[in-house]
Amino acid sequence: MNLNLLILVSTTIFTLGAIGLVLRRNLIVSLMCIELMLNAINLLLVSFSHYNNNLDGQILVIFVMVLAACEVAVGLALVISIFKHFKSLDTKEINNLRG
Amino acid sequence: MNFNLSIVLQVLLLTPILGAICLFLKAGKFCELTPAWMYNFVTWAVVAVSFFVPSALLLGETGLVHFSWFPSMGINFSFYADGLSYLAILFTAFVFLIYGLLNREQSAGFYACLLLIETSLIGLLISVNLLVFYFFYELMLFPIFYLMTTYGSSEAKKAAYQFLLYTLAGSLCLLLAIIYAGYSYFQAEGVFSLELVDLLNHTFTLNEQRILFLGFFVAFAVKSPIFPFHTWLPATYSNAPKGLAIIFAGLLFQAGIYGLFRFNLGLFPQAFAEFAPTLAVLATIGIVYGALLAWRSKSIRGLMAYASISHVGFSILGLATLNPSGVSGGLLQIFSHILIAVGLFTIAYAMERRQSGELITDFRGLASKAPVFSFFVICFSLASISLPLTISFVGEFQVLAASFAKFPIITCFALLGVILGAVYMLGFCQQILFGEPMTEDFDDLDPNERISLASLLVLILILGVLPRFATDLLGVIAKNQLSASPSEILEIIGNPKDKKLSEGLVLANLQVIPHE
Amino acid sequence: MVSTYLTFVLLIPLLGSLLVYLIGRQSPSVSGPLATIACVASFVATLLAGQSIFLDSTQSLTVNLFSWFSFNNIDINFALLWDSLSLFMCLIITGVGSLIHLYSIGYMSEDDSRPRFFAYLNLFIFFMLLLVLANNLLVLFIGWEGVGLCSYLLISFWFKNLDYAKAGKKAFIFNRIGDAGLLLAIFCLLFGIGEVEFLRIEQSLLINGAFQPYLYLAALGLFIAVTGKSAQIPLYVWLPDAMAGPTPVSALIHAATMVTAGVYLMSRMSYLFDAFPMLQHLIFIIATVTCLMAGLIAVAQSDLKKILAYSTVSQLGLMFMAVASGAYGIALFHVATHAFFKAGLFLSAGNIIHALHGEQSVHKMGGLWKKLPVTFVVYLICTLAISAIYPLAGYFSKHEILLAVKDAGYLGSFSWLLTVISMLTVVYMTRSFYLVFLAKPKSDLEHLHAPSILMNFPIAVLAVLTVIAGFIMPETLGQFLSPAIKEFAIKPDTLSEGLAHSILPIVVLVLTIVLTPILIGYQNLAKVLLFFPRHKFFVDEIYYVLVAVPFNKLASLLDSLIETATIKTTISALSATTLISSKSLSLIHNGQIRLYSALSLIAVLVLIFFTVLI
Repeated sequence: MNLNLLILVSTTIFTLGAIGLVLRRNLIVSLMCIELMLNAINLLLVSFSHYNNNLDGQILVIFVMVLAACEVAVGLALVISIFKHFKSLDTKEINNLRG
Repeated sequence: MNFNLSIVLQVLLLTPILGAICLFLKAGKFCELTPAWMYNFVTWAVVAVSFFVPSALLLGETGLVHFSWFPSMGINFSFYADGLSYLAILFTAFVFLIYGLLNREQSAGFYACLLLIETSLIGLLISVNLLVFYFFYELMLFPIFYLMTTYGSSEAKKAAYQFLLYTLAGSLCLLLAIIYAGYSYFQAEGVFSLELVDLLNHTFTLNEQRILFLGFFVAFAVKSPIFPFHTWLPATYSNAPKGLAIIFAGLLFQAGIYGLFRFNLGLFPQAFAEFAPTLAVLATIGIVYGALLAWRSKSIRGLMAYASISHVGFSILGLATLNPSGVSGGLLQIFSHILIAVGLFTIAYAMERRQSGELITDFRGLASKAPVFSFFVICFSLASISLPLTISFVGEFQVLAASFAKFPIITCFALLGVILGAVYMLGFCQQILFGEPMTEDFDDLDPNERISLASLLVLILILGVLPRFATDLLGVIAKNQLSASPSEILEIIGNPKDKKLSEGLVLANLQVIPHE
Repeated sequence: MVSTYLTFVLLIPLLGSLLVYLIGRQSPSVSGPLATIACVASFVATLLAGQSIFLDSTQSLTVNLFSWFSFNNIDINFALLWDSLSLFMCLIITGVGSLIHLYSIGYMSEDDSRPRFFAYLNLFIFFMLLLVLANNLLVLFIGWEGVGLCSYLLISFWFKNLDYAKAGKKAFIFNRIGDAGLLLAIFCLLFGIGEVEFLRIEQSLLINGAFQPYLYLAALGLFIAVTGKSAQIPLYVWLPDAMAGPTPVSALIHAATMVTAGVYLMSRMSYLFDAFPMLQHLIFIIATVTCLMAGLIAVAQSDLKKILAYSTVSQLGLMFMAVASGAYGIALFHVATHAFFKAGLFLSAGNIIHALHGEQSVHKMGGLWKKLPVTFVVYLICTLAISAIYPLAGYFSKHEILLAVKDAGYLGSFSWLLTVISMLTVVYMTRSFYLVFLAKPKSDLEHLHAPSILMNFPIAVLAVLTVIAGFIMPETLGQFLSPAIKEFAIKPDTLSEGLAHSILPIVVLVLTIVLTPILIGYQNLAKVLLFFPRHKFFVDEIYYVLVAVPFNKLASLLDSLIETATIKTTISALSATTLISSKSLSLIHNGQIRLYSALSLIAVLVLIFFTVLI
């Protein structure tokens, strides 16, 4: 496998996720974008792990996946309560923390 | 009995803290004690403990309390008391005791805050580590802020913010200066130390002294207050709720003057000598300015607040003379002002409790309604204008006589303050006491108020007629602090590494400081 | 033994004051007699303590009670000095004081706050004794301020009347200005020669001379102090207002004792003043102007007590003229005689005012000689005495003063001023005497409040003293005071000389009695002539404009400029910067997650960029 290719793919996915996070207004999409970014990182970590013949990266991947699972669980719960409260998932309307 | 000074000091510091904690936890509920009762018990206990300090001192104990905390930075809990701290502690404890007599119906939180203030005052008087001093110096702000905002009117809240901001701004300078002092000690000696004893034995270079002096000075000038830094004071004293002005006016200022004496004069003698003329000018402006504004003030507590500025000016002028008698007069003036300010604000509190209205013109002809009250008003007014045979005369005389030798023209202006003192104080008496009475019901003082005012008055008179004990004690302390005469200081300015200055300083007598 | 008596002299009035107040609160009628007993006891103690000095007036004794405090290693002791001068003053204070105490029992018999009155009176005696017994300037200062305090308390004794209270305050403040001068003098002496004890200052001056500027300043400070206490220009204005107090107070404090403290102090420190002829000249000029001005004002006043008050100012001026001429002993002689006849006059005035239920205007009196015979006789004797008519006490002292002043030669070709001053005294005293006793009655004389024997006895004693003092005192006093005061030689005039010198006063006296009713007829003329004296030369108003108003302006200027302005500028500047910065920063916090995430991304990119770059 070509390492460069793998790096290119994961950075592309990461960039897509980041752009999505900044541009999209739906909360669920935002969450998915974050998930995308995390997975891009996972991919990168695995690639380097393979490349270096070293398991450290894969251990980190497990950590990140646990983290992502927690994040999704808490995030989705929050999304549901936000939807109940605001009747909308448009981040433009949910701006109560406006300074 | 052999009292170890270190044990006495620990007990002295822990008693009010424990009292405050018990009150916070509402421990009184379990054994059915009212908060006021607990507060009074604790204040009595503090007074009782503080009486052991001189016996411990006289036994020649050099028991410095020393707990390592952060030794690599030279920060330790180290406590020590000399005669000045001792007298100040005794007076502080006494004032809290008196406040307990006057105000008996407050909640546990209120009294807990008061005990916290007492802790911080005692703590800063006995701490000989700069950072610990700073800690106690700051500690008192928060209970004061809490008391002002919780129990006071909206005006009091405003004043509380003002007070907090001013003092914090001053304290910031103090903190920076403390860190810088530790740093320059580190540069010279290779170890980091904020112990006062170490710093006293170290001679700062002149430039360091100037910078450090200013840092310390700003903090203490705000607290004292010295003339351009005083604007928080009238608002705070005038709006303090529930007679708290007694505590504020009576005790806060001493932290400033004590600090000026202990740290500015002790650590930076050359800078102090350089700065002394400016200090004298500021003090004299304060004296005259306070008197003029007191004369103009329409509210009772405003008048007393400005009078405080005027009185504190004499204290500062005393320090600025750099003459043992002048400095000891300035220190004596602290105690005279404690007694007088507490008396005057107690009178103001008694008036507010009986009749609403905070303006002088709200009262008239009280002499025919309340003779005992009037007696005390006249007595404290006369003490405030330093009539001979009151303690304030002795202090003021020493200050003015010493300052005349050094700054004759400035002293003439300070004498103007003496005259103006009579103008505003007698104007106040005339306005509230004389003439036809305006209101029907103005009860005379109740027994508690009588006892408190009478005990203050007795102290004022005893110390005025027989001040020898206090003046001798303070004279020795002042002499130790000034052991290098101004001419010597001038010589040393050329040779900053000279260790001569630190010889004979009070704390330098302590030999061993364990350094882990 | 002497020191024990001396302690008693001081302590009895102090304890008396406390006792009188404490016991008097239960039974007010006891307070008067108790206070009088205390004062008389003090008088007796003075006599006992003075035995040895009576026998040999060169004796002097220092009694060290306790050490007060120290200044620059100079011990300041609470010590008393007992010599012929302090004995002389103590005798006047306790003697005249006892008589006035006795009189007050009658005068104040209907006042509810008698205990307070007598307690203050005894306290005054204590402080006054402390003043004259003090061994050093600081102890003297205690007495000096103490008598000022008692004067304040007694002037505003009837405090329900705000004018009285204000008069008390005025007296205290004017005295306070003088006190600042005294403090200044003490500082100068401490700084200059490091001494505050009278005897040591004298020694130091004898050894080292007095050619030092701070000693000159000390003398000047003492003089300022003295002008305050003894009511000389420029600080005399409090004394006429002080007449608001009860009349016995005016007699005791504002005629016989306290106001003469200045003369005492200058006699005590005579060596200092003698060293500065320039200053003596200044004192002389001020005293002369005071004398003349007060005399003129007295002529135009209509309040009986104010006439006497200005007369006191004028007589004090005479004493100061003597002091300035170096004739300290003669000044003290006049202090004594003045104490007798002025106390007599004031107490007689008290009788008159008491009889007329508080009426003080001389224009509403008249014809009282029939109703108040004892008072009439006493007032007549005292009027003649103050007018310096042979052989009454006033003749001797005043005559000596005029001689001394002429000898000193300050006046030069203006010596006729002295005659004018003396004749002014005759005029205002005779005028008051005529209007009160001889003129046609203008009010109902039937319901007079007749004075009791308690009130008549003291004034009779004072009248007797006024008559005999002139024969006894000059020679004895001369020998007696000579150790404390330098040259003091009075040779009593012969009868013919005395009569010759009395001719002019008698002529003026008769003329006044004849002219006063005529002048009253031409009231408009009198108004024009006496316009300035009637308004007291507008001195109060001038002081108000020159001193009170500027200070008030300054205070309000400082209030608005510094207090309000600093608070406004500093606090509002702080809050404005905080507000502006917080507002601009809060623009970022628009509540949009997208912006936040974008910003953090940018931040990360920037950080990475910098890390890579560096």
